[in-house]
Amino acid sequence: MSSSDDEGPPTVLVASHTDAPPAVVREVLAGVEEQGVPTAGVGGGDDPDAGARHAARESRLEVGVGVGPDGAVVVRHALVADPVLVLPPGARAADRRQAGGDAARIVAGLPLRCGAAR
Amino acid sequence: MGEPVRVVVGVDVGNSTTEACLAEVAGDRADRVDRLASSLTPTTGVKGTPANTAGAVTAVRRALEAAGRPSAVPDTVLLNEATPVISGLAMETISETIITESTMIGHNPDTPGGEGIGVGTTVALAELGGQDGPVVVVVGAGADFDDVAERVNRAVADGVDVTAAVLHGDDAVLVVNRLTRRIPVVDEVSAVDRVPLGMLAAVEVAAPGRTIRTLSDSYGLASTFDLDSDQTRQVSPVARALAGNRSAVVVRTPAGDVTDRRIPVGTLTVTGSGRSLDVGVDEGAEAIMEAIRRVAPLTDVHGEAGTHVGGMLAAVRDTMTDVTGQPSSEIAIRDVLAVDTLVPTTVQGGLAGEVARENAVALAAMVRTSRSRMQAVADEIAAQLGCEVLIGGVEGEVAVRGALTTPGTAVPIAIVDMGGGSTDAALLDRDGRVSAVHVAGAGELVTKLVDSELGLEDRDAAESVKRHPLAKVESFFHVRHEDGTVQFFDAPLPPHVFARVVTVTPEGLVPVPVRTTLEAVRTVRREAKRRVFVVNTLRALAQVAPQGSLRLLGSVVLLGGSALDFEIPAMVADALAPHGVVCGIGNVHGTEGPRNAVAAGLVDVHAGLAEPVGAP
Repeated sequence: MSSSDDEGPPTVLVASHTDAPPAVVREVLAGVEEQGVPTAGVGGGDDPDAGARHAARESRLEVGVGVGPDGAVVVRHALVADPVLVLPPGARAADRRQAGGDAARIVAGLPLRCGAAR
Repeated sequence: MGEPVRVVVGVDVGNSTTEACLAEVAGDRADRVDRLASSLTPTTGVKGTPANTAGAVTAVRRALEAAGRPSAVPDTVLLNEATPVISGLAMETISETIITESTMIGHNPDTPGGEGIGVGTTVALAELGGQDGPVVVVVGAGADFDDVAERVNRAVADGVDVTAAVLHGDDAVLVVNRLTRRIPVVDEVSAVDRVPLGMLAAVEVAAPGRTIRTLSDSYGLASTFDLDSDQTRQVSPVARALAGNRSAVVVRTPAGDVTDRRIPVGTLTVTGSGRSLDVGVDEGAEAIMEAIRRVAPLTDVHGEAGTHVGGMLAAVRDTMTDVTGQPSSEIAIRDVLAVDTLVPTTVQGGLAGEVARENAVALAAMVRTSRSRMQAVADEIAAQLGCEVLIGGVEGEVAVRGALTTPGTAVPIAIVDMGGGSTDAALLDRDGRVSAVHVAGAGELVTKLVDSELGLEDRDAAESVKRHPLAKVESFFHVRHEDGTVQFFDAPLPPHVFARVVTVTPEGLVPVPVRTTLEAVRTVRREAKRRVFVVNTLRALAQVAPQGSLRLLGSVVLLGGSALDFEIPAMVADALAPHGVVCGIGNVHGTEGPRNAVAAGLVDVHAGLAEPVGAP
């Protein structure tokens, strides 16, 4: 599948399932935007982790987010084997915003906020 | 020559560690001491008290195990004549910043929105619309960024002059990106509901990498709020408090003020040379140390009851009373080290958790007694191990003898033992005389300064910063060490250290819970070490040096755990270099490093290898 990241500024790619709750996708995108990093969307499958893996590989910033049909969120870096961050389907809106923010903070080289709480 | 070989263990009970040196001694000649093993274990109880027995026995057993003789019984255990040293630490904050009537928000949200300065009357988002003059919108908790942007855009379309906004949530960039008219927006104002409405306010956001120019300047404030010269004088603390921020909000209220207050924290009474001086703790470290110099030699110090410092001095005295059984009236504080420090403190009356760096004074005190109870320790060790136990060698003297086995040293020789609670110095002069001194302030004070100046409130984190070099994690696969070298890793680093300032410990990278830069943490660490160890080394050596002149010292050997620190020995050597002193890390018997000087020295003196010094 061709990436939407080939032209224009490099972006954090967000791969969301067509049935992914719009409120979840909106919070994730808002989190990235608040940090001042551009985003773009791509289609994703049932598995948010596979979506995040694909998005990270396609992103020229090497960071991707996957959002599943159940609202689960996964943040990945293309070079890191394990997911950087995983949110369960029932997470709070603020945590989803923060997950998007952390995806952007990986790009910006800033300490992650979800990671600090763990 | 024909004497039987005896197994001898020298045991040095120190403030924090107990060290043992196991040797075989045959006869009384230099080549008859065969050092087999050494060991190190934490001291149990206060040095010089019966509680030391457990640690001393452990040290002996570990040395025997290390030598491959776990079931052997030594012929003789040699103990140092340890005397109790009790030290205490306290800190008093002596300034505070108070904001009244919520006049000022001076914090640095990570991501403010827009740029420039906007001035207007504060209006709640719900009330926006129909205003005549310029307005600053105040948005409470729970507002959605799309909703906020939509309402502001509508008001602007209706002719309202919206010049700036103040938000509760972290969404300034999101709001600004959706506005038809770009305005400065400050977000993450946690107590936004306390921002007074209907008042003239100014919001300033600087470009990335810049700091605000107008609200952090007295005349900038005067121009913005149309102030006369008296009013300008009044608001100058506001300007000062905002300097260095990337964003700020100032609200002009009838009685609003920012005050910088000195907190009275009681007095210290220092006694010496037959006179007493009172010095206010809030006068700072310099004044306290000056008072101590004026009454030198210090014989006692008292603090005002009800203050931290007074409580600490009383606690030190009480602990010594408990340990030695001496009445507290007989126990005198013999040394105090005061250090000025800055403590990040949450500003009273602040609306966004603003932090100001307040002045504080840290104080270390030390009390010492000559009443050692080592005989009780000796009796108990003899009973437990079934061997002869001898007490020999006054403190400092044996250590000097041990230090003198460091290759390249010669008499006159001075030692500096930088411990946890006190810094000890001793000098052996050409005539064989030994003088020794203990001064307050050592490793524990460094940890405390690091902890409070970085606002860690975590002793373990502070200890880690003190002990280990720093690095910045720059990606999932590499770090940049504090000296600039880069290290790559094969496996990705965990997310919790990503982009953080970390300490490089033998167990791995440990994040330092601060938002400041590596350079700032490094400066705090090195300054704390300099103000304690360098200052104390010079202070202690000056007291033992002939005529108080460091030039006459010759060589200075650094001993103790802090001599193993990665930077303290170099800092001390640098400070001593201008005095023409050769200074280096002890290497007892050329093999033991800065440890074991006393334990090895006890064996040498016992075997007749070294002259017993001091005592007739």
